[in-house]
Amino acid sequence: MPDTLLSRRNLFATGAGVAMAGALAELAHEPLFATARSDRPLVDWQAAAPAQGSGLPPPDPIVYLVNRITFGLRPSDLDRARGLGFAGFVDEQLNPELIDDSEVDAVLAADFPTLFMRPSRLLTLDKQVVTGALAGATLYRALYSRRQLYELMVDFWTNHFNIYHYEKEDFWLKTVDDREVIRRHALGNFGDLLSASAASPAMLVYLDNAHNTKAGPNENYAREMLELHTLGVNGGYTQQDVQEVARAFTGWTVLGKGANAGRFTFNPATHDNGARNVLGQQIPAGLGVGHGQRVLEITASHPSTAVHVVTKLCVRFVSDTPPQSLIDAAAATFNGTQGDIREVMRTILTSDELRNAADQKLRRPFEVVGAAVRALDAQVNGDGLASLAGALVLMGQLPFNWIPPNGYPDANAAWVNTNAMLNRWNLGLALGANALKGVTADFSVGSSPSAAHLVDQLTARLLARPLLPAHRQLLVRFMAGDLPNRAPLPAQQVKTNLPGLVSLILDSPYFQWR
Amino acid sequence: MRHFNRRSFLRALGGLSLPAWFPRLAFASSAARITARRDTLVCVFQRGAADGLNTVVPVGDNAYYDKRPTIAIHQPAAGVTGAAIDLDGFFGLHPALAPLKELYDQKVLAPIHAVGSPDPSHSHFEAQDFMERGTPGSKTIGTGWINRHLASLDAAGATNTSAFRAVGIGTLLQTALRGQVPATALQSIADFHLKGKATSIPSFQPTLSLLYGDSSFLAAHAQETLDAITTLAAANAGTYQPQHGAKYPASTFGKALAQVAQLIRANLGLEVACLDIGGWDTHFAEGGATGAMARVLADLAAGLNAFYTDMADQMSHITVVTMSEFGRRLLENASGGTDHGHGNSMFVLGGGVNGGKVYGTWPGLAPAQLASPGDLQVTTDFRTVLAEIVSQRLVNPQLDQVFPGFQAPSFLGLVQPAS
Repeated sequence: MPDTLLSRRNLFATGAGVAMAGALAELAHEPLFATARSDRPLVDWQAAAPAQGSGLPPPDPIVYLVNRITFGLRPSDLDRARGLGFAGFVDEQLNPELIDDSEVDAVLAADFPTLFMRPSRLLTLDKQVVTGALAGATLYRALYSRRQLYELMVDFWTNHFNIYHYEKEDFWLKTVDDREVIRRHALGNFGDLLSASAASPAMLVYLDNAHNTKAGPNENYAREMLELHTLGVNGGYTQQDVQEVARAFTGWTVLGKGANAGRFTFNPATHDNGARNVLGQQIPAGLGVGHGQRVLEITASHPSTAVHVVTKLCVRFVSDTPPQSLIDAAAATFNGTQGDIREVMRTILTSDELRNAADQKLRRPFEVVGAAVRALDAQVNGDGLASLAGALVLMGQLPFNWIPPNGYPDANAAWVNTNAMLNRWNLGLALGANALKGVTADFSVGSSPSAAHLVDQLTARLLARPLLPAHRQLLVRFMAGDLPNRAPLPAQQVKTNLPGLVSLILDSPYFQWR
Repeated sequence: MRHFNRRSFLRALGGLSLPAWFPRLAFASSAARITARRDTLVCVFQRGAADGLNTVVPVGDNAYYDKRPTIAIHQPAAGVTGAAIDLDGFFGLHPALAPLKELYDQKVLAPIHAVGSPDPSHSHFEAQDFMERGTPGSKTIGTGWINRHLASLDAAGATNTSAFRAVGIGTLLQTALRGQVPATALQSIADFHLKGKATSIPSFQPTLSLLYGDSSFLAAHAQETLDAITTLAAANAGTYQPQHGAKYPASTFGKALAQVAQLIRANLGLEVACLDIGGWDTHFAEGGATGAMARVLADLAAGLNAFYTDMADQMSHITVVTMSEFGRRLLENASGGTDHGHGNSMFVLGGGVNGGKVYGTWPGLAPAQLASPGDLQVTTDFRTVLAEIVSQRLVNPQLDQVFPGFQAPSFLGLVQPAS
């Protein structure tokens, strides 16, 4: 069994995966990972509190647009977008396979070997090593991959087909789902993605379909598939449909042993092979695994599914309350292309509705972390990934750590409260002071700069958008103290106040918008 | 780290004009002087649809045993491990709830059965949303029932402006608390402050405050946060020592309850607190007297018992209520679990509770007595329970504001009027 005797040593010899595993093991003592779970609901946040806009001077359109389709601006992204034009930049980002990402790929291959392992091998490894590597790699890709839109799509589908990482066999199997379901189809065809998810061992375990048998069907997957993955809660299905879909998926399960352990299998012995009626369509008896496949075809092509899925995409990329015109256009593309996700995204990203939606979406914690590290152009090592993961646990958005099947909420109102503001501010304070272990940013400035110069330079670098004059003056006063705005600052004053200035910029309302 | 203090704040403000929120911040400490006779409400949400049939077990209903061959809880019997704990001959508590039996015997705990939402949704997310808004079946009102309770008190002249008047424990604020009255989300009292060297620069926090000093979407949240930081720093709430030998479980839920107790003891004007306990979505391997659900029940019971013990001297002014979005199917499935159902059980706990008795009207579990597709019926609307608490313990007669369009048939007599 040489190949099961793991490269655990290799992992420990390399950097990032290990530091992540260690850090997440420590976090395991924290409530989020304990057996007592805190299932938070998705609510109709939009109805609860509509955003009223930022009240701030708007950013340059290209700055805003590039921010919206990345985890945050790096200076190089903006240069590239200005060169290509936004349409050209979108086109480039919609073809991630043509973007050279070899630097990131090399790091992943060297430091995160579990990403590439087959399930039977993963299942022999320490679960903390496996979960830590996937969370760490996800963070690393968000920070450094040049395929930024692709990474945002991966994040979107990860939440649409949410799987909680830290229970049952999903410590190991989510790695396979991430690779073979989410990443494989993130810009592909929706029906393919849905089918891959339905047969994904991680999903079969998470929503209990692995235990769904004709002797007593388990409705968990059937209901959430209809409610969350396809038609939507008001999409026109009934309790009867839930029960019929559950019966269609009886026997879809996961192999427990052997070289294919952790792979999908269909067990005819536990399958209810009778005829079904699903959403008004007859499915004949005797199809075996074909019953579930037929259900997937019916649901993927159902008109409610197009509306449900594209509305969520519009909410993700445009606004909590996207214009009906945009939903209609995106749904038309979805229907006209039989669910081509890339083309749906092209419709959304090249729309006038997107151009007019600056300051409509707040950064969620994952985007706050991504944008801060990218704006600072900070270096992040394995410890740094662990530090950032710790910050995300505090802020409530570590990837794969959402327990119920609806995924992290995507509405401004969900992510703003006293606790959220405090944690955002404390992250900015830590980053400004270079106080997060393993995360290092360079704030060196020329000799004897003035307060005004420092403020203008740093806000241009970190925000790339204009400030209200009163806000600029506040920052200059913070830096200058009793000195005039344009007086050269003593070195000691720069040293004392500069971390605070960086923190104030990251903590400001300007930085909270996507 | 140095906490914000008002003097440095005023100095840093210099010649700048005062923002509109300033008086509220300046006088926030007056909230500590509020002495309301209404109870503090502690609202516990069991996320994921708890199995009420295995919580307050209908041991006298044979259909229960017929439909649950592997996960049913035994009828009470002396010397039988894992048997239900008898309450009134017909109902018994799950054995993991032994710590609640003590409170039942002290007549401060009242279970209610066959209670829930009249809306038939079997979706967790929709049903939680309906329940927290207090408007089953309707999405037209976007605020939570607890927030509307506070707003209606304000409209009637209430003056509690404490940042800790309404608190949700966790990273996201509970829907029940959302609305026009500011509510604070809090993970940890001990960690609720700004951290880092820059905070020792006197102008840091005032500058941060003024960057948010406009009318934008974020401004109100930012000011509430700064207000909460300031209030807590002034209250000097350090590490917490539970009283009367109470021992909270080390779980998320236990820690959350201890935070609520600490806030009450700090006398910061807490009126309502929301907290969550998860792990109830038992489609698979639910277990019976032992197993997955028994472990969560044990956590619930140990937590509530510790809270009652800790706060014993104040429980005459505290009411705790538990709820879950719906119950679970009577028939167990083939994977040893239960799918989404309808009617459920709730608990009310407090010094003003007429405990020691199970409330509600039992509809029976025979096939003809079930709600589709095989669920316990709801014979008591959850709002009937909450309305009685709001009216009698929270001394708020404006039930039409809290539960618009709902007319409670008549109260169950769960609680005594607040004194």
